[in-house]
Amino acid sequence: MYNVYNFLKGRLTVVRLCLLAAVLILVGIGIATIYSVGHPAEPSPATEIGNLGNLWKMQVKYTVVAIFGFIAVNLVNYRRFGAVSYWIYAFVLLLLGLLLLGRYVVDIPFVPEINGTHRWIKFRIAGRDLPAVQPSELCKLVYILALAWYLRYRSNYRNFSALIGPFALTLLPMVLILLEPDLGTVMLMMPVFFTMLFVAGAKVKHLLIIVLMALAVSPLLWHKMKPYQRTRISSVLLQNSWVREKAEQHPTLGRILVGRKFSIKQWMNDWGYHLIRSKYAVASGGINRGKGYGFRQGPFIKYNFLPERHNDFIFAMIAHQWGFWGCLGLLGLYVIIVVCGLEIAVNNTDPFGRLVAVGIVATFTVEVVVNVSMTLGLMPITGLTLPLVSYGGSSLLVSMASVGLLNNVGRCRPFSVAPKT
Amino acid sequence: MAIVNSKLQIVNEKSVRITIFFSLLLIGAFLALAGRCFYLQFLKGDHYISACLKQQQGRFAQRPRRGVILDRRGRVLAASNRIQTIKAEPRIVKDAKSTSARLAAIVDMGAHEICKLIVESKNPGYVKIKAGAEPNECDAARRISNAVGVESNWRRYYPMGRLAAHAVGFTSLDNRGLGGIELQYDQELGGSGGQNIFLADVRRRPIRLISESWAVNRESNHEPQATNHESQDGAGIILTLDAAIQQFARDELVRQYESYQAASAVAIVAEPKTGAILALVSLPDFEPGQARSTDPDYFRNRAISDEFEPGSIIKPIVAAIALDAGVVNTNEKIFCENGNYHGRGFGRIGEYRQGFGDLTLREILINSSNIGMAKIGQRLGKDKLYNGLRFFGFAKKMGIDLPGETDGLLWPVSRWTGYSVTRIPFGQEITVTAIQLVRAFCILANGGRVVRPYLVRAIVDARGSMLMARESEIEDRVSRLGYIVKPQVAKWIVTDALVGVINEGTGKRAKLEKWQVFGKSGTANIAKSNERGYSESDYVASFVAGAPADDPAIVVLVSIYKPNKKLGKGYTGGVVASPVAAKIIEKTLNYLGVPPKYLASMQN
Repeated sequence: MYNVYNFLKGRLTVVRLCLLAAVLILVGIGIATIYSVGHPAEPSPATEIGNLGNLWKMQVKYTVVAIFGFIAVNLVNYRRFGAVSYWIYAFVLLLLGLLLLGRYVVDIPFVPEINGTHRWIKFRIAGRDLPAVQPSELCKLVYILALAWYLRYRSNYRNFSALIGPFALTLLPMVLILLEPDLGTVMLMMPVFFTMLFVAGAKVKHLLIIVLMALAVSPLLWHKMKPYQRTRISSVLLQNSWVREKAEQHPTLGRILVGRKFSIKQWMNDWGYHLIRSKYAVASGGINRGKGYGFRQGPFIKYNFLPERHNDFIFAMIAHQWGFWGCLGLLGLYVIIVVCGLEIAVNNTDPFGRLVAVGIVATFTVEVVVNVSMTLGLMPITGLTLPLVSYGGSSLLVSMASVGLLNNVGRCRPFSVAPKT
Repeated sequence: MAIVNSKLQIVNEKSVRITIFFSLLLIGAFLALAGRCFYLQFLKGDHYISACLKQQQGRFAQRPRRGVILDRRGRVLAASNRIQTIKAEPRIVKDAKSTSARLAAIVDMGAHEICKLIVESKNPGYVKIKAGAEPNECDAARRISNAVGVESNWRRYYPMGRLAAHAVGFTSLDNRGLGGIELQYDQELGGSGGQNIFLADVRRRPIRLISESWAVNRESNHEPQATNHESQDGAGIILTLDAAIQQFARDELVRQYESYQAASAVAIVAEPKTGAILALVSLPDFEPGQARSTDPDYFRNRAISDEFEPGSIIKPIVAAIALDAGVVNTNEKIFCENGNYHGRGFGRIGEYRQGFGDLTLREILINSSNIGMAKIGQRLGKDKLYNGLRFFGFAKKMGIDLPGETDGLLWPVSRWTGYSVTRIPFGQEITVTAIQLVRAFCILANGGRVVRPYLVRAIVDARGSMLMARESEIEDRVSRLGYIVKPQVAKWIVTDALVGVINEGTGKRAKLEKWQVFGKSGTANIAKSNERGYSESDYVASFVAGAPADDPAIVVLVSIYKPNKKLGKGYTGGVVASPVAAKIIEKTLNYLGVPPKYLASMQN
């Protein structure tokens, strides 16, 4: 039963191998990009590389751990995870609660404040830092499992009141994560939730009503937002110079958009800084007929013009080095993952397995689309990472475990109550 | 069974629908992303690349060294020295204590003092630690941390101080010329500042220099090295001034200026053959290094900016015009009305002291007879008088190399009244500047040939090549220049009439043993500013002189404005100004090594 090579056995071998290959290539691209950021071909003494130089080694270690995670997930039938999903869900909620406790009530030593947020749990044992764990990353997967388990037999959500249960299941972690704060993960959960509800058979009408309700309260939400949050969201519009001019000319419009007096100069130097630089990094990858600057080449690799370039903005670095064709290749790999995931979902008649597969595919899709969009200036900048590629242990482990689960769903014989004909 | 089948079918149909829906959604999303990449990288690529390069660049202006100003013998009148300042940026100082301890070891200051400077600085971006630091101190300070830096600047020094303040001028703190030669030749002295383009990191700190072409060249992967946009240091200017002669002139003038409690005073020494100004003193003067705390009125270069009625000092000029026009000759006697000349249309004219009877032209000049000059003026007539004075350069700027020159006043003939033609010949109803007078007498001393005063002898650029050499220009031009009056007329005025003024007339105090001096005094009333007529207590005491008379090496003008009459020491040009002129001439000719010389005719 507990065979290490379990993950290879089973149905849909070709699909699963394609999936695995795409995943491994993506992880490789990620490591290569993180390496290039820390090791430019022509190092510049004026740019502080800091600890960027060693990050790729860390990422390799994380990858090894993540591959073990992938294998471990395949040791048992995926349905067993479903059975304990509520317990894991509760545990993650507990962790999230702990983070909030550290943020709002007492100072907990293993809940440090990083960039003004409390997202990580970090233990020190015998004077050494253990890798920090990000409960909100774990929450993504656990939430999918729990929701799928909840929805598995309730195949028809014909009446509105039946949506209350799943809503409660969703809103609880969402609120906890929102308070950390980690807007990116929250934004990720909503579309995943809707997709899974939709697949589970909820009426499109009901879902639309919910979306409209959300839209109706959005002005209130906007009103409650802090200026920096508003600025991030409106920065999608503010990329347009016409909008910028109007916002500067009319103080009221400026206040609505960014919550304070809008100034083009400040936009250029401060508020829009990240977005502008990220677009520059992508656009300059169009050099050499779209082939980019080449591995470990280019000013954005050489100089630290773009903060978080190994992390949330790693797509910009890929575009910078490998140009348009690199971008297409990367997106193609994600398409392969998504198509394989959907293939697995379609070929599994077990509602739980299908919901899990769809949830995971939706998570991947939303993460990729949101991350790449924010890098390209199509969506507000949020803290969503590019799955499998961005630097970060929790994210990589959870992504690999998700893929492992997908593999598990595809591998296992469909559990069917329908008699064979 | 059928029910199960249909149910299964429904599930399958539904799953197909779901798959199609999701596939479309996914395809749409990924196509949108790819499209956006295409848009950014290809369609808008050029725009973004240029914008991106622009944002990564910083520019700073290189400040070139301002050129020196030298006197004719190469003495430094003004020069720029590099001054280095050690500074700190308090907001990025991580540990003020250790930083200041390390700084204290370098610059000779207490660590506590430096720490206090850094911590208590009102400006978080800048605090000056030490101005005027030595190069080795700067090198050591640079190595401490990136919060400590060195900035380099130029400071203008004027080693001679007040000596030639009005000619040299002064500069602002940012090294722009604000007066004198510094202003007039600001562009040449300032040089051309290069601009460095550098690649800036996130915090706008320079990484290294890049070339302009990198900013536009999008196809190349590598950044080409910086091309040299080096700045061009300013050109040096060599003046015609001689610091020694300037010193003589200033010393003598200051002594008289102070002892007569005068309002202002001017002395000019010029070389009549070329028009080169050897000394130019204007009092009160100022310290060019401390121009910021100086009363702006002291910046006024009175030699070119103050106009005054010249009085008797203009008589030799009018006499020369009359002789040249042939309306008088040197032997003729002119009746000077015994001191009371009046008639219709020109009022009453008196003499200064006693009346005269018949006087020759020479005696008119020696005795400085107003009536004689008035009669000469009447003989000349309006047009000849006016044109003659214009030819001598009155009432127009002569274009000396200094800012702020005025042109003086001589009404056009159409506005002359009956008074004009009789008053202008003895220096009323006309205003002149000191430099115009000097020029007119230089013309006389130069045998009637035109000269133009100038102050800049040469301009030499930073590499040592000559941009302008005035002397050769003048040599070129001399042969083509005409005469204002006939040489023999000029010669007669200088060696006969004006020598007579020194030997027999009002210029006795300017007599020298070694050289024959020629000269003319002038004591002009100053017109009242608030009502008609002249003030009885305010005069301009002037004296113009030159030596040796038969071949003048220099012409000196001394003009003292409002000597205090109440002191009882006199107020006339002959008393106040002529001793100054004599001493300047004596010292200058000694200094220049002009051999002692007396006119053959005067050696009896």
